[in-house]
Amino acid sequence: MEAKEENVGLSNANFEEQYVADVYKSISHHFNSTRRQHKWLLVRNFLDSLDFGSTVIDVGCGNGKYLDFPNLHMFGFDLTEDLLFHAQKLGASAHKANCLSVPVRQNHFCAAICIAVIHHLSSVENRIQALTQIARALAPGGRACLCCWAFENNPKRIKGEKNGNWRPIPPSEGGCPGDYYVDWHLDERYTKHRVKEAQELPHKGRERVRFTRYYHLFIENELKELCSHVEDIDQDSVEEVFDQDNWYLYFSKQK
Amino acid sequence: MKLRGHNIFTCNSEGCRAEANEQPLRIEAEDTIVNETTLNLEMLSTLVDSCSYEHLLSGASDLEVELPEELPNDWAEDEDLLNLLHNALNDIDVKTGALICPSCEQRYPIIDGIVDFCLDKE
Repeated sequence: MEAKEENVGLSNANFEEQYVADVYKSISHHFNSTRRQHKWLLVRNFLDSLDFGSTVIDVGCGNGKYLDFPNLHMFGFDLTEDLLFHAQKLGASAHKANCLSVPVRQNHFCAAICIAVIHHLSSVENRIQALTQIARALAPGGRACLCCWAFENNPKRIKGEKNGNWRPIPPSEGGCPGDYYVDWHLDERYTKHRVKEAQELPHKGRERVRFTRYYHLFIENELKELCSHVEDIDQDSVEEVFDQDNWYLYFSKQK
Repeated sequence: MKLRGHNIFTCNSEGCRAEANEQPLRIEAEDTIVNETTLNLEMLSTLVDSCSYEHLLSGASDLEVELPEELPNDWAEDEDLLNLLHNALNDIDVKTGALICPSCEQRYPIIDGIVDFCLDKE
């Protein structure tokens, strides 16, 4: 059976561009309005636990939600320009880079956070690469806090699978267990420009545009296992905590 | 882009990454604004301590800001120097321009204060 051109595997660079980067470009203002205030407790606790004046890198900083801690020197990177503009308006250092290639000095930062980013990476290889980038940036002994959507008992996933907003990606399309296409319905107030994948759908009498994003949901120990491939990580320091439908990953860089 | 950000940046090209090249990127500033913010001594001290002074000197020079060749030991007590450092690191904001790698000449455009480190894959 001949492989179709579309079945190039989820680690194809164009896949992430189409199902993550381009979607966030289109939905950025709507996304920003849903994410503005709430800081996740465990991330807040992690940042609050750092010494005064610590340097912190935020990989995938989005609209700069965590870049305004007054006692820390925060440096953010993200791919979505509109979200970066929001971050810059807060006076934050926020610039455009991909988590797979973070353009910073090695062995430098006291701490790192990476919130809701790695679950958008569509291959094991890319996930390991992102972890490697974060570990590389940390000073010896520096600590990281990451979080990704969990597979277990996830009400969003369970509800989404029922109403069709969450669709498991079948093996025939290169999908692995935990891989999903997840819809975002763009409120018409935020329509900026549409990517070719968007579909017009009627929604409660109001026209909405649907965008599809890629997510990989993690099971227990899956993130921990990825860490075992990263030399810079002190394996004894690796910890996973389940909270609010997310797996939180903590690790330190080798001293 | 402010100098406190510039201080941590490195060239993102394949060649420079392979060599772990961490030379300061050259700044070509077209549009710069100065937004004066309040100096917090403790935050500034920790920031300066975390900085590479070589990078700071290089970046400041590109922006035509004169800093001493070396930081004197009592720099934290010199009010004029503190204001100069604070201004250089936190207040000057390059809105349009580019960062250029002195080794491989890779350019990273700065638009609306944001440096774009993404390299197009041809």
